[in-house]
Amino acid sequence: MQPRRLKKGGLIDRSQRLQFTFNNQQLQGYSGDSLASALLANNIHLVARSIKYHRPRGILSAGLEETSALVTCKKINGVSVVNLKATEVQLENGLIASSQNCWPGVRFDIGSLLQLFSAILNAGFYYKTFMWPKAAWHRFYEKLIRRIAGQGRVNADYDTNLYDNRNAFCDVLVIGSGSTGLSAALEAAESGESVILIEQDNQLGGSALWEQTRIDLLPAAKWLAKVAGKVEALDNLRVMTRTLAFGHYDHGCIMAVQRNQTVTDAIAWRFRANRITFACGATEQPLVFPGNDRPGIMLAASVRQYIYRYGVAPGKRAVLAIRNPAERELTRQALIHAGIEIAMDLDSGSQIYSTRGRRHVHRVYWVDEQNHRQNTNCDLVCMSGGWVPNQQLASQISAPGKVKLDVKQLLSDTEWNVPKIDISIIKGLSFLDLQNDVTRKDLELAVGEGYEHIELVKRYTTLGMGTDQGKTAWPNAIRELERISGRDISDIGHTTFRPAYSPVSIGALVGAQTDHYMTPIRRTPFHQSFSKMGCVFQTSGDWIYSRYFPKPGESMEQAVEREVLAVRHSIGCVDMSTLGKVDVKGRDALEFLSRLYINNLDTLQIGRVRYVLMLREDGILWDDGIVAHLGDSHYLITMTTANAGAVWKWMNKLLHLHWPELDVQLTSVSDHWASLAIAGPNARHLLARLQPDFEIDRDNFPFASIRQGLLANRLPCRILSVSFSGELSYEINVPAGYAVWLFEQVMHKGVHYDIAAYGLEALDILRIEKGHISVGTEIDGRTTPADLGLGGMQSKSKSFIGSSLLQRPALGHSNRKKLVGLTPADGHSPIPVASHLCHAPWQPGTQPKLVGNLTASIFSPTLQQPIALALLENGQSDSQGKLWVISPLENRSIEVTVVPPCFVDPKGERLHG
Amino acid sequence: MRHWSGTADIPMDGNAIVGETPIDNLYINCGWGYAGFKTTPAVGWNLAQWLAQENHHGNHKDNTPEMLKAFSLRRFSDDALIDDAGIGPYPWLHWHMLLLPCPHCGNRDESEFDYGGRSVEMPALEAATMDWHQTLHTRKPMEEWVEEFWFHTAGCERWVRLWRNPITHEFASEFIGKFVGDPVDNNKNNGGQ
Ligand SMILES: Cc1cc2nc3c(=O)[nH]c(=O)nc-3n(C[C@H](O)[C@H](O)[C@H](O)COP(=O)(O)OP(=O)(O)OC[C@H]3O[C@@H](n4cnc5c(N)ncnc54)[C@H](O)[C@@H]3O)c2cc1C
Ligand SMILES: [Zn+2]
Repeated sequence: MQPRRLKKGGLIDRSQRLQFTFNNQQLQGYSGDSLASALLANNIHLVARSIKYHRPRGILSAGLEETSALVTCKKINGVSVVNLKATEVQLENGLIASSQNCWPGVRFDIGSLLQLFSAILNAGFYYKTFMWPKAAWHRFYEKLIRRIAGQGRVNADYDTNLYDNRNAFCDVLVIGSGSTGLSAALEAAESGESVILIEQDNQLGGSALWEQTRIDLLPAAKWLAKVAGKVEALDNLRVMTRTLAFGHYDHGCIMAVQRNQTVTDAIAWRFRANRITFACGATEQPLVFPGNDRPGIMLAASVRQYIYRYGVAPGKRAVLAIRNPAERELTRQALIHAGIEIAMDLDSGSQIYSTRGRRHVHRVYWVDEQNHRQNTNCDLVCMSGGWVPNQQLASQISAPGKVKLDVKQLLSDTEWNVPKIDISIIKGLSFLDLQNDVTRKDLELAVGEGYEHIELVKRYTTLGMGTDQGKTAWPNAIRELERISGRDISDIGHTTFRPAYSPVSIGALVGAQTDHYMTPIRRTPFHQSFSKMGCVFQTSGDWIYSRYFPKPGESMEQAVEREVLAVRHSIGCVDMSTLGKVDVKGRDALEFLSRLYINNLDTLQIGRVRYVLMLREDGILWDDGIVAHLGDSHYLITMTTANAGAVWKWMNKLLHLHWPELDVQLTSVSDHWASLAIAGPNARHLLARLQPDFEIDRDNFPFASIRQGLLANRLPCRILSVSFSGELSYEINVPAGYAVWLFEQVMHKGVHYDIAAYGLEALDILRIEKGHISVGTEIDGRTTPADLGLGGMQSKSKSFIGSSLLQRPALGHSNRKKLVGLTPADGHSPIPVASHLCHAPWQPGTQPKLVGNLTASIFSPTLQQPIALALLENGQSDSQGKLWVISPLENRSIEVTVVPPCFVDPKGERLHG
Repeated sequence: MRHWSGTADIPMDGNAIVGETPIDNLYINCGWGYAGFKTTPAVGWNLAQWLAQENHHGNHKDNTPEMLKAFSLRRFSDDALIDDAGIGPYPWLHWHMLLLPCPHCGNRDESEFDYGGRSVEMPALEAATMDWHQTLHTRKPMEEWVEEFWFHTAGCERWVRLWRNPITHEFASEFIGKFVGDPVDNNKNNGGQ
């Protein structure tokens, strides 16, 4: 069944057979296999096609450095994940894997014809080849490139894989669980420190898992068993396998991703450690020779790993090309152990100059030390160009934690095999970066064209840009640059190492915060009561706010019109709980508020309320609200829903940093009060029916006042006589837990007056009819109080935040835009929203001179006609000429008449009742 | 995913500065911040064409091209700012992943904080327009250590002053000392103004 599986041996569990498919072929492996080892056990080497030339590619390595064997994987019922390395995917029952980059299939791939054009697909080809003729780019080249470029096909379905974000903290974080990491973690843990050991593999041990060496005089396996026992016994040592560190950030921060077997579900971990130990091992480097990319040409240590760890023989007849004598011997023993015939064991004086084999290597050609050309047939090449430490993570961050990069030291084990023969006459492509199909020739071309700096070489050739980040490409490329340019490798240097060390799915970074988990949802205390009434809600920032309350069979327009008219003719009620509310106390409370708001507050008596405006430091209007004088040095202030958080932060900033001498205490009471406004001519009658224990007639509770007491002898309340709709109105505040009671009482007693609960739509229409400003429309971060006709609120006798810069010439200029009202000249044409003001109708294709913009436009149920608010240059003084509202989007122009920005009760008599 | 760290040149209203300067015949075109890649080619053409105009030399009547007018340096002191987003002179974006020494709570993850910009001492409310303009719209060049304001939103809810080294990402607070590396040179003069 598994033709290349050895009879015995390996760390696999032969009692557990796993079924999986690869390119629709039913295959079997064992528990403990990686996808790569299972494929090799089934004698499948050809797993991918390369990105540019679509050359057949196999499995080069057994780890994260894998550059060729990229696959798309899918769990049963799962969503497919692209660009996974066959070597990092642990086999699971039912796994569905497939090749990428090939059509119709990996064995016969039409794209491979591109090899014929290799001469023009060289470095920087996309900057040159497709430039001419210019018109061909969109028509031809772009389509061609899109077809053949890219790796894998992203699944656009809803991602059902599971993701999360988590944090962990420790004294020492050890990355890598080879013999080095294990020893370091044990030592630190035994000294009593809290230690976390993370390992990207599913087992601890690193190369000690399979290398036939001795550690501390013990065979590696025995040593590992001994150490594993100790690790288990230590409570202060936390071990996390399948956890890959991918980013190293300032202040002891490591980001890692913990994945399930198939690498589909993932948790992004943020570790914060006092010390980090990098024990990430080293990566074996390939050799560079023509045809070094064929399936069956593998890294020597990886071959040993497949034999000893997975019990797989990746070939039958091998050629060895290994520089280090000790490693040569280990590999020879491994091949003998696996019954693989050694066709040739090349010494360092020999050099491979060609290989053959369409889908798998079957012949190798070399020049020997005597300069004789030789060849032999084989199906496996075990190569090694030396080892390079995995320094990437340690060097990712900037100073001072950075481990300095010494390229000379880094590459000390990879001395270049000085070519025996003139490599310029060698035919065939010698690959430096297998994943991006970058060859020796591309590097020569880049340097020849002046792209000599290592960072430019990278960008011009794309070397090292792949999902493997050039782990098996950079060292050879730097050696090659040394050869081409004659520069010292210390001068050549290395490109900057950046996160991510190995790919991380965006899902893992996002975590579980998708859909309605993205931001917290805020509901007001009336939410449940409203929902029972069939309220339609809408989001407003983090809030879910009532929009309108349709009766059976009513459309939105009908419901909103009914709600508005109820307020104008009888009574309505609306939720005001989202307003920010802050309790201000202290000897300097008045001084603080006087500095904060533009209004004169000295004259505000206890029990009275004032509408107030707040500017930014640069004189621009920022927020509005009310200040209520509750008692001696005690105020309640409100701010808009939108700015509640920012104003709270700002007030604290002033007190903590700029005016610490002021004796003021702020307490946010936004969430403590449920607030329901009753508005309309019958508001006072309804309030009386709620039985407050204080006088509410016009003289004892006039407009702009606050009263505290009990409702129905039981419920503590604060009632403010303030109005946003322009009608007589009371904002009833009760402790948040009594919202349901209050709403039931109001609706019950309101039946006498045909009360209507209303929502944001009606609220907005009522305020537009009245010309009241609102944040985000008229208060748009560019207007001043005077622009909006509120200059009179500004105290002349004091300075306040923004008063100085409000005097800048441009802010007082006569041509500034001013708030105006608009009605259609014909009395009935709807005025398009979000449109502009112009002195002439719009002609398509022209750039009109704009003199203003709309801030609000509605059909007024009260007036039974369209009305709008706008910011108009020069304000009303310019209203002599004809004015048009133009909407190029709707291709409409409506002639309008400029009117004062208040359409209902301009004298403001109704709010006194 | 790629990321980077460094400083981006951003005027305090988030828009570039293009045009004349108080020095005769010195023009500037800078401060494109995060958004200049798309814009600068067109602006470059416009600026060059303007400068090349014959009637320009020695001619002090304002013939700034319509397109560039809004970007003048003068806008900060006497003009209205451009401020597309309507957010005022607070153009900073956000970062992450650092550990900040809150004087009240100790070392805490940066995600608990809100950034409040370089530290600036507020002029008196009645101070002249120019003083307020200087404070809000100009900054000294970054130096090795800068003092900044941070709000410990998810902690003690206090505004604190922290020292940051923009080159090394080291942080320090006067109360609990430097977090990484050597003690801070407590020279208060080099943070903001
Ligand atoms: C990370 C990042 C992402 C960005 N993303 C985008 C984006 O997605 N979209 C977008 O539109 N914009 C983006 N931008 C912004 C955009 O790249 C810049 O705004 C734009 O490149 C600025 O162009 P510039 O010509 O004004 O200045 P620069 O490109 O900075 O050129 C200034 C030149 O002046 C030279 N110079 C400086 N001082 C002197 C001196 N004293 N003597 C001689 N020469 C000097 C410099 O060496 C430099 O070559 C991004 C910027 C960054 C940093
Ligand atoms: Zn704190």
